[in-house]
Amino acid sequence: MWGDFMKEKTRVGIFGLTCCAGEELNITNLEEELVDIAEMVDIKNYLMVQSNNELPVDIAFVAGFVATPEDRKRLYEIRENCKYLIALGSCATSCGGIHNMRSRYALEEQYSEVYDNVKLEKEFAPLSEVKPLDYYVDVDYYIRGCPVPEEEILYYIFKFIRNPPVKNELLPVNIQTGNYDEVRGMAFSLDPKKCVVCRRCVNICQKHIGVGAIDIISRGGGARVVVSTFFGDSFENRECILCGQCLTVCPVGAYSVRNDVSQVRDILDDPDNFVIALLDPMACTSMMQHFSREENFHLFLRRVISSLREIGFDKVISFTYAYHLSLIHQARHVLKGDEQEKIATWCPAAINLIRKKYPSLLKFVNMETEPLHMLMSILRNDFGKNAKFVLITPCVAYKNSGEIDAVLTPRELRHLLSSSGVDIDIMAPDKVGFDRECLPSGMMEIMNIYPLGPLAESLLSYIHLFSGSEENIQRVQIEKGVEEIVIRLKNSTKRTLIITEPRKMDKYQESVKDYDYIEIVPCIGGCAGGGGHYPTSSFDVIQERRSMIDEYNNRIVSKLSRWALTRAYENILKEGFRCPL
Amino acid sequence: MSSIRKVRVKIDDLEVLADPEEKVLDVCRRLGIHIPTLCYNPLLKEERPGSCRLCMVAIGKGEKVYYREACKTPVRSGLEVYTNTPDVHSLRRDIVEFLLARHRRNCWDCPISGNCPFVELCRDYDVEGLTVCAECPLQGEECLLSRGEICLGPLTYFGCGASCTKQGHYCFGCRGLVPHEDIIKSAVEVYKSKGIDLQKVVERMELFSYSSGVIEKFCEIAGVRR
Repeated sequence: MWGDFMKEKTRVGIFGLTCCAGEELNITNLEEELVDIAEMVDIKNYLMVQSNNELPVDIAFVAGFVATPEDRKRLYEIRENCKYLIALGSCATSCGGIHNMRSRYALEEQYSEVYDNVKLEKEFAPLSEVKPLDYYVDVDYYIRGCPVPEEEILYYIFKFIRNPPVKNELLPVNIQTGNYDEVRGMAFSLDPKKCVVCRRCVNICQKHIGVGAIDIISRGGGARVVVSTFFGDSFENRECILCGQCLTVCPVGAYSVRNDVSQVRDILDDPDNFVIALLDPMACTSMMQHFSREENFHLFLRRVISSLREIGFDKVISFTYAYHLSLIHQARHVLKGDEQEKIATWCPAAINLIRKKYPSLLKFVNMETEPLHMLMSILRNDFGKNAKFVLITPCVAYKNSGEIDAVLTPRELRHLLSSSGVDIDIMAPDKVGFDRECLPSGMMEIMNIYPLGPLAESLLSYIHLFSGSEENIQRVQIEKGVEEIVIRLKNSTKRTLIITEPRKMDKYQESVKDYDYIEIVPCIGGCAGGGGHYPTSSFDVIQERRSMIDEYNNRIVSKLSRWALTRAYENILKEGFRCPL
Repeated sequence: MSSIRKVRVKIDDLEVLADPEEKVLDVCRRLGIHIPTLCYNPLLKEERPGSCRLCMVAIGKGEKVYYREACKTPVRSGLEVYTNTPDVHSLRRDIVEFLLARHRRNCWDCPISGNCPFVELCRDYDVEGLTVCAECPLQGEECLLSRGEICLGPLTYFGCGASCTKQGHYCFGCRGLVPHEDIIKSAVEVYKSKGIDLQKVVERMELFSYSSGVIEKFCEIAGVRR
C-alpha cells in the first residue's frame, strides 16, 4: 500500500549542465520548505544532494547551458525521459550568463589561454557555440533569474504539482487600430492607449458622482474602443468636476496627474523667492502607508516637515489652518441663519459640481469662505510679493486653482524628495513642527486639529462651542449616501444634510431651502480617498488613513484641557481672529 | 429571521447555502476561493460593468458546460460552478493576453508601476511580455534612467519584483531580454528620450544575453553597431 502511494507522487529531477550550479544550490537553501517539498514530491534525481539517481522523471528542472558534446547528449537523454522540461536560471533560459562571454574569442585562443597546449578529449572538448536549451530541445517552461529566487522556485514547484501550466509564451503584437490623442487637462490627463476599457472610471463618474464627463467612445467598426471625454475635449471644459475619483479607481494607470515637480524645483532654485509650503496632514497618510517604515504618524509628519525644510522650503504651514478659518466663519453664518452660506465650500470639487451642474444653487454658496482663498488672502498680505506658495494636498481639484503657485500630490512630493536625495525615514523629526507665523498666538494647537470629513461634524462642535448650550444632536440616515443631522440649540433647530454620493443631489436640489447647511463629499471616504493619493480600491486602506488622522487629532486634543479648548475658540472669535473679509 | 429561502449551490464540489440575490463571485469570495477581477470595484459593489471577463467560471460539467462571468451570474438552486478547471485557466489566460495586448506598455512612466494588477495576472496565468519597469516603483524623476544610469529595466523580463532597482541599483538584465519587437522599439525610444548612450546599453546587454538574438534586433532598431 505504501508503495502505491509512493507511485502517485510526482517524480522530480534537478539537473545541472555546464554552469556554476548556483540554481541547484539555491534549491537546497529552501531549508524550511524542503521537508514539505520532499513529502509532496519524489526527488528522483538531484546529484548535488543524493547519490541514488535515476530516470525517468515527470518534471525535469535543468540548469546551465550546453557547452560540450557531453552536455548535449545528457540533455537529449533528459528530454526523452521526462514529461515536462523546465529551464532553470539565466543560463538555461536566455543563454545569458558569464560563460557565454567566451563566444567573443576564437576557440584556439581560449585553449591556449586556459589549457596551455593540453589536448582535450573529444567528449569534453567545448562546442564552438554556446546555446540555450531551447536551441536543442523543446522547453515547456522557463524560470528566469540569476540566481533564481528561492521563493520563485517554490512557487513554481507547487504550481506544477497542482496543475501543470501551459507553456509560457510571448504576447501578440500590440493591437492599436484607432489612434486617439491624449485627453489633456489642467489637473490630470488620460492616455487612451493604456485604457483596457474596464469601465471603472466611467462607472464611478456616472453612478457615483452623477456627472458623466467621460464615456466609452467609438464602438464597433474596427475602431478602437476607448474611454474619453466628449470630442476629446479637456476635462475642465466639459462636465468634469476634477474630483479625481477616476484616478484612484483606474487599475492600469491610464490617468496621470499634472506633474508640478520641475516647477517647484524652479521656484526653490530661485534665491529671491521666499517659499512657503502649505502641508495638508492628510497628504502624508498615504505616503506613510506606501513608502515608510515609520509607524507613528505624528513622528512621520515631523520627518516630512524636516525634509521639506532640508530641500529649501523657508516655512511649512499646516493647511488645516485654512479649514479652520473657513469653518469658524461658516459656523457663525449658519448660526445667524445666512442665506448665502447654505452650501459648504470646503471641497473644490463640490464647488465645481455646483458651478457646472446646479448653477441655480450658486446663490447659496459664498465663494469668499473658500478655505484656500481665505488663507491665501492672509498669507499674501503677511509675506509680500516675493513669497511663493506650494500646496501639498491629496486633492487634485486644487491643481486647477489660480490662487497658488504650485500644487503637489503625495506622489509628486515623494518624487521631489527622493530626487533631491532626501530619505524621509532617515531625516530626524522636526523639533518645531509646523510654523506658527501670522496666526493668532496661543491657538496654534487647536488650529492643527484636522477636521475629519464629513466636515459638518466639525462644524457641529464649533456650533456647540459658540452657542454654549447643551446640544441635542440627532443623526438620521435618509438613504445610502445621504445623512441628515438635526441639531437642537437653545432657541432654534438647525438641519444639516451630508451627501456622500453626489448623484443624490438631484433629488435634494429643490429642498435646499429647507436645510440650514448642506455638505457634498464627492470622494469616497472623504479627503482620505482623494485623487492625489496612491491609487487603491480597498476601503480598508482609506479607513486606515482616516484612523491615522484620528490618532493625530487625539494627540493634540489630549494635550489641551477642555477648558483651554473652549477658551481658545472664544479667543479666536473675539480678538485674535483676523477675518480677511 | 430572513424570510428569503436559501438556495443550495455547488462550488468546486463543495455544497454551500447562498442567498438567491447573491452572485457567484460573492459566494466564492466568502468561501475564500480566489477569482481574478479587474473591472470589479470593491468601492462600488453594486455597480458591476462585467466588461473585463477575467472572472469567467465554468458552469456545469462534461458536454453541457458553459462559461459565464462570476460577477454577474446570480446563484440558483442546483448550480454547479467550477472555478479552476484547465479550460477556465486557459480561457482566462487568453483574456489576460488580449487585455495586455491593447494596453500600451510604457511602464517606466506609469503612475501605478510597482502596483500593477497585470504583474500578478501575468504571473498566475504564465503570460510573458512585461518588463521589470512594471514592477519597479521608481518613476518620473526618481527613475534610474532619469539619473543617467544605464538600467536594463525596459528590456528585461519581469518577475523578480524589481529587487535591484528598489535598492537603487541599475538592472543587470539577469532574467534575460524580451525578444518582442514592440518592447525593443519602445525601449530604444525611452533610452533616446532620456539621453542615454545606446552603445553603452548594448555593452551592458552583452553580460547576460550575449547570443540570445535580442542584441542584433536592438542594434538594428537603434541604428548602432555592436
